[in-house]
Amino acid sequence: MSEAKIDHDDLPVHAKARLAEMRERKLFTSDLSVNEFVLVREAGFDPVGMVMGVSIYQIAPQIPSLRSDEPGRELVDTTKALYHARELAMNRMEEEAEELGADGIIGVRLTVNLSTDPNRVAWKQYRAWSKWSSALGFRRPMGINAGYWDGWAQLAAQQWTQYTQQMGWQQVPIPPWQRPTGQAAYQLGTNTAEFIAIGTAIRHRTGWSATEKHYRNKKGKPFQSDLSGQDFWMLIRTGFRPVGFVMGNCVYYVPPNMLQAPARSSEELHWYTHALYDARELAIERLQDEAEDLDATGIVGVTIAEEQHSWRTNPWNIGNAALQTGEVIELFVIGTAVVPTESGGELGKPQLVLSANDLPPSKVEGE
Amino acid sequence: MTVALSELGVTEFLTLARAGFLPCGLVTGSCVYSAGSQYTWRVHTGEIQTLSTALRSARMTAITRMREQAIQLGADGVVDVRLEVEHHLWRGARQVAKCIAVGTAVTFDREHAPHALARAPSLCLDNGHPFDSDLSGSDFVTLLAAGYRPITVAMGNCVYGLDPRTLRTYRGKDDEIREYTTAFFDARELAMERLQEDLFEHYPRDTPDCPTGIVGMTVSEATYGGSGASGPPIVEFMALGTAIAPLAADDPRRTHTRVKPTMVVPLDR
Repeated sequence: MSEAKIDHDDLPVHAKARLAEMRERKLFTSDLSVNEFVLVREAGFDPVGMVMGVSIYQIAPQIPSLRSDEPGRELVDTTKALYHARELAMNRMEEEAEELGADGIIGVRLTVNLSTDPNRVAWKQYRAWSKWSSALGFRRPMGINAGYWDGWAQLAAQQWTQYTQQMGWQQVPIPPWQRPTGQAAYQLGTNTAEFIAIGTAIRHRTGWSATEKHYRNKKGKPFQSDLSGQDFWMLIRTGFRPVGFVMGNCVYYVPPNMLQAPARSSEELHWYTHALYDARELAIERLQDEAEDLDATGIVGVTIAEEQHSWRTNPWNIGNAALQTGEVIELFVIGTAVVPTESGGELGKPQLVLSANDLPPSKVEGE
Repeated sequence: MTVALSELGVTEFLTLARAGFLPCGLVTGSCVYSAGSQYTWRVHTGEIQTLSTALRSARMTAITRMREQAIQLGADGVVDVRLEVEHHLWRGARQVAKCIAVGTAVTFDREHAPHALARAPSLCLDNGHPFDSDLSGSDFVTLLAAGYRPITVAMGNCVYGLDPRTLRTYRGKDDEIREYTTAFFDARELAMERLQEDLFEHYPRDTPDCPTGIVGMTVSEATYGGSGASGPPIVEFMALGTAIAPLAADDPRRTHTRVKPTMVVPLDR
C-alpha cells in the first residue's frame, strides 16, 4: 500500500552538515549502550552514526455517518495517513544512513508523540488542579464534573489567588498545574502528532566478501530493524540477517451503538469483536505483504499494538468521546523481516531470559 | 584520615575495584543562569539563539566546576555523571536555569589493583586532567575490556520555537506539516552537530585524546521554561553521550578473550 513519494532532497541543512562532518572526521555516534556496542563489533559490524527521521503530521479523521444497523468499517484515509507519516520518518532515517554508506540500522525506535493535542494537555491540567484543590479542601460547586468544563480555569485561578493571599506571598507564582513538566507537552495543534524514527547505522567491517555479497536488502537499501545490539548479535550468530523493518496498520471505526449491549443480557458485543478481529487481520496481512516484498523467510519480534486514537476527544465528554462519537482504533503491527545468511551459523543454546520490558521498542508511545 | 564519598552501590563498587579503580569522592558542580525575560521570546519558527547559548553555557560551567573538584581530589576520572536542569521563573518574569552536574570521582589504585594491571598507564587525559563520562561503573569496566577509554561527556543543544500560525493553512487536511517537520528535524540535527563541533574544538584531531566515537547517545527534548500548554511551543533538544577513544595497543586492560554477552534486561525502551 506504499504510495509515498520519496524525495531525495528531503534532509534539513544541518543533517547533511552533521553527516558530512562525521564522515570527514571518522567519528561515529551511536545510541548503543556499552554492552550493545561491544556485541555489534563482535558480530563484525562497526557503528557509523546515529540516524533519525522526523515527520509532523496532521491527521483529521472523517467520521462516516452510518445507518444504525451498519457495523463499523475501516477508515482508509486515516490508515493511509498514519502509515504515510511513519513511512516518511523511516525514509528520512534511511536517507541519512545512505549518506553515511551504512549497511543497516539497528535499534530503531519508532515513537509517536501524541502529547501535542491541546485537549489532552488541558485535560491533564484539569486533573492536576482537581487533585490539588480537593487535597486543600476547597469546596467544589455543583455541576463541575459534567458541564463545567469552560469554567474550571476561572475557578482554579480564583482558588489559587485565595491560596496565595492566605500564605502571604507577595508575588503570585505559577500554579502547580500549569508548571512545565519534565516531559515535553507543548501544543502544536489539534489532531497533530509527531512521528520520530531513530536508530544506529552500522556497517560491516570487511564489507563485501565471497560468501556474503552485502548486507543491504533486495531494494539496495540499508536494512532497518528494531532489534537491540544483543538480539542482533544473537541473530547473526545463528545464521540469519535482518532485511527490513516491516509494518502494517489499520484504523477502524466502530459506531457508538455497537459499543453497548443491545439488551440487558450477558452477551458478546459481536460487531465490536468483529471490528477488532478484522482490523488485526488486515494489519497483519499488510505486514506479511511487506515481508514478502523483501523476499524474507520470516519475521521476528512482531508486536501488535492497539491504540485508541481519540483524536476527537471533546472537552464536554470529559475524556470519553467514544460513547458519543464512536471509537477510532488503530491496530499497528511491526517486526523485523529476516533471511538466512549464506554462511549459516550454529544454533546457540537457549538462555534464561527475564522479560521485563512490557513496552517493546517499536510500540508506539503515548496514551 | 580522609573519607571518600560515592553514590555507587556495592556491585558497582566491587566491579570498579576488580579493575583497580577506587572511588575518591562525590564531585558536583552547579550553575544558576539567568536566561532573560520570558516575554521577549518570539514565536517565529526558528532557533532561539540566546536561549540555546544560555543553556549551553550553564551546562558547560556546571561540568567544568565538577571537573575542577575532581582535579583537586587527584582523580583519574569521573564516572556516572548526571546532568540535571531545572527551570524557574523568578519574580514573575525572569527566566532562570539551574544546572547541576553530579558524578563519582575514581582513581587508579596501583597497590591493590590486580597484578596484571599494576603497570597499566593512567587513564588521565593528555593535559593531566581527569576524564569524565556518564557511563555507570560496570559499563566503564566493559568499555575498558573492549579496548576503549572514555574521554568526556559530549553534549549539544538547541532551543527552537514554532509559529502556531502555520497551522491555519492545514485546516482539516490529512497532511504532513512540512514547516514543523523541517523545524524539529533541523533542531535535533543541530543539537547533534553542536555536540560534534564542541567535541572537536576541545579535543582536535591529531591530539592523543581525539575521540573516535560516541556511545550511549540520546537526544531528549523538554519544554522550555514557562512555555508549554499555555505559551508558544518552545522546545529544547539536547544530545548527550560519552566520547570514547581506543586504548594504547599494549595496555593490559584490553582483554584478548572473546567478549561474552551478558544478560540484559532493558527497562528503558
